[in-house]
Amino acid sequence: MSALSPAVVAAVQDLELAARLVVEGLRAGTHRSPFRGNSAEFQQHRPYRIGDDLKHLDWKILARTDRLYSKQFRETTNMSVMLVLDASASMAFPESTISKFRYAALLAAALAYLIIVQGDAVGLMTMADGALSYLPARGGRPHLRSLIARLDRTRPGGAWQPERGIARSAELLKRRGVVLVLSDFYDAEDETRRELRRAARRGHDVAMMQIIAPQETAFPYRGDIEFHDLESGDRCIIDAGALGPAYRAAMREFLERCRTQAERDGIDYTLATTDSPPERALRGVLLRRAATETRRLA
Amino acid sequence: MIWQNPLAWLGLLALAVPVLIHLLGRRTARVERFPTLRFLGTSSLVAVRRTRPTDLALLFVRLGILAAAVAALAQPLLLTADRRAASRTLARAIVIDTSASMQRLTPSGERAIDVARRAADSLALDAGTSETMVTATPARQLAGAAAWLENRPGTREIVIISDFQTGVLDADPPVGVGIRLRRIDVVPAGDIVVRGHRGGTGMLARVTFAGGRTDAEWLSSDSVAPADGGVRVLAGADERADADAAQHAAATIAPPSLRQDAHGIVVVYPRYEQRDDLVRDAAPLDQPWMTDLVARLRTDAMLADAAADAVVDSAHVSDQFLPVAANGAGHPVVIAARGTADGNDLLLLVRADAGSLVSAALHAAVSRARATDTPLTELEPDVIPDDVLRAWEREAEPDEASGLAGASDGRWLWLAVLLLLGLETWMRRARRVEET
Repeated sequence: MSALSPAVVAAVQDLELAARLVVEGLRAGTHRSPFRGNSAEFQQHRPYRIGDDLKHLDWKILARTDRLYSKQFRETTNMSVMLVLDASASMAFPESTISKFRYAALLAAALAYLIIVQGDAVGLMTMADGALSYLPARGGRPHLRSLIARLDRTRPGGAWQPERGIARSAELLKRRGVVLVLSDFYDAEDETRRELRRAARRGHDVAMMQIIAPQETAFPYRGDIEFHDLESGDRCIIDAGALGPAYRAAMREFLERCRTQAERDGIDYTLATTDSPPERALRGVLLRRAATETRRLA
Repeated sequence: MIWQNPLAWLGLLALAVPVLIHLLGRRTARVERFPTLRFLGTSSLVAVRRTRPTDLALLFVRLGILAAAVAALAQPLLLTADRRAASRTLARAIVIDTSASMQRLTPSGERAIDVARRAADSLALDAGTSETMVTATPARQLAGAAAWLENRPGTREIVIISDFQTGVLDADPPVGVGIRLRRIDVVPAGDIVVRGHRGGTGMLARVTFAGGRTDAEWLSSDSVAPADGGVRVLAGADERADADAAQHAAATIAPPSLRQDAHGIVVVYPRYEQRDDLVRDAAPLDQPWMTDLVARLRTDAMLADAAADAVVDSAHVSDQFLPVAANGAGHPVVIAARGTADGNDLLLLVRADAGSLVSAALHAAVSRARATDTPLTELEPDVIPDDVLRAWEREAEPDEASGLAGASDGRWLWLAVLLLLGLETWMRRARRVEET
């Protein structure tokens, strides 16, 4: 299955269906879910690999077929993943095509679908118009539908208060889990970093997924333009053609700063632009999660 | 490079218009909703618009359009080697005074008019292009000479060859051309015959100069006036009566000429049997008296008025023949040529009916042209002093642009204007696409 373009995904109004399309596209690839863990409940066999614990070797199959297979088990205690979605007004950009919020919601729905299918628990924390909206981490299909419905109902607006959203999410995860923040990370840069580090210190795996529209990096504007800040409502009239190079340099510097600080703080960082296929962005997240799991096991 | 219309450079003042437009023009800023303004530095706000023109590239293109148009209007002319060579050519109009006083003798014993003609030939050889004009009134010929010089390239001058009797130059010399005055010295001796009027009757006078005294002996006009005024009429058998009637009518308008000379004038009507033979053998005018007479006929108002309403066919007339009068449509009604069949006659070929008004007007015009009175100053031996003549003389100044009127290299600039206009249109459309 080829990658779904953002335009195709945007045309699918049903968020659950779109999330399933993204996940199916992802499964067609060679990557496996990194959210899989050991479980006391048998789940499946897989060929034995050097290093596998011998206690999981299926001796009966070995005796019958003379082949080595390891048993995999479903984790009895689900991994909890908290998706923190920035629903501030800046995420409503661009307004003419698929917005950053829609793209982030789609990724969140796809991740939730993937996590629920794996038998883990997933929750959702959003903040729109200054009000927190929380859905605790749970498993099961009904919960997935609730979460997707919550995503579907959420409309971007207001400002982003990361110290509230991220801190509350980290507190509400009862045990060690994964906190995945989807945002453009424009506002309250220092506070956001501080809360992400605090969540990591609590023992959570923290990942940040920065969603950017291509217009924000390319800045393809010319002439005199009156820009309206989507969040603050501030306005300024500028000569966009003259300002373009300085803007692009500042933007590059900001993105690079986000990436290096995340690496320094041990936080998974993924940059996604809304014109790239969503499963590609999702695959990037999963690959980094898998690498993190591998490092931790090692 | 010369500019034939330098005043057009004042148009450069118009360059201020696009500059002001680009400086003061406040286009409506397009509104864009954007996630954050944190990366848009406040130093680039458009508050400095009034001191910095917007869209410099478009401004320069517009300035270029105006500058090229102004330069084209200034009519530039690139002086190539060929054009410079043409500008150095000397064009000379030679006016020979043929008034009665030029019949006098020079100290060498020749007639002054003969010396003048020889001098004119010599002057014509020196010039790149020349035209010799023979007239009894040089002052009145100056305008015609200046008109001939007007479209000639290079240095232009008028040379007047005369004995410069008092009153010969009673007109202002034309501007923009050089004036040279070549005096033919005459001795106040011998007799000359002049023509004039006395008591309303045409008379001939024999003038004698002796000892600073001038004596005029008047003769009766009856003894010298030819019955037919010296004009022969060649008409077909069926138009003879009309031609005679026209001659008689003309006699009531203008009296027959009193001049006795050897110049033959032949009026040929359309249905004259040998007209085609005459036309076939005719030659261009090449004698001064012929061109002088034709020039006078052309200025005859009555003939011009009569010819204006004449109906003639539009058949092509050979370029060898000189139109004398034309109708309102520009078709020649009377043309002049030199007949070669029986002597050097001036042929006046009439293309209108023998009984038409043109026919009568032509005979009257011929009489008037030949009946120019001799000014009384011709009877006096006084001449204009040399120092006065020198004061009137003027050196011919080379005019590089003369003769190149209408020639201009401005067309290349107009082409540049068109190209720049296309570029400006393309740039404006590109800006509009960018903005949307």
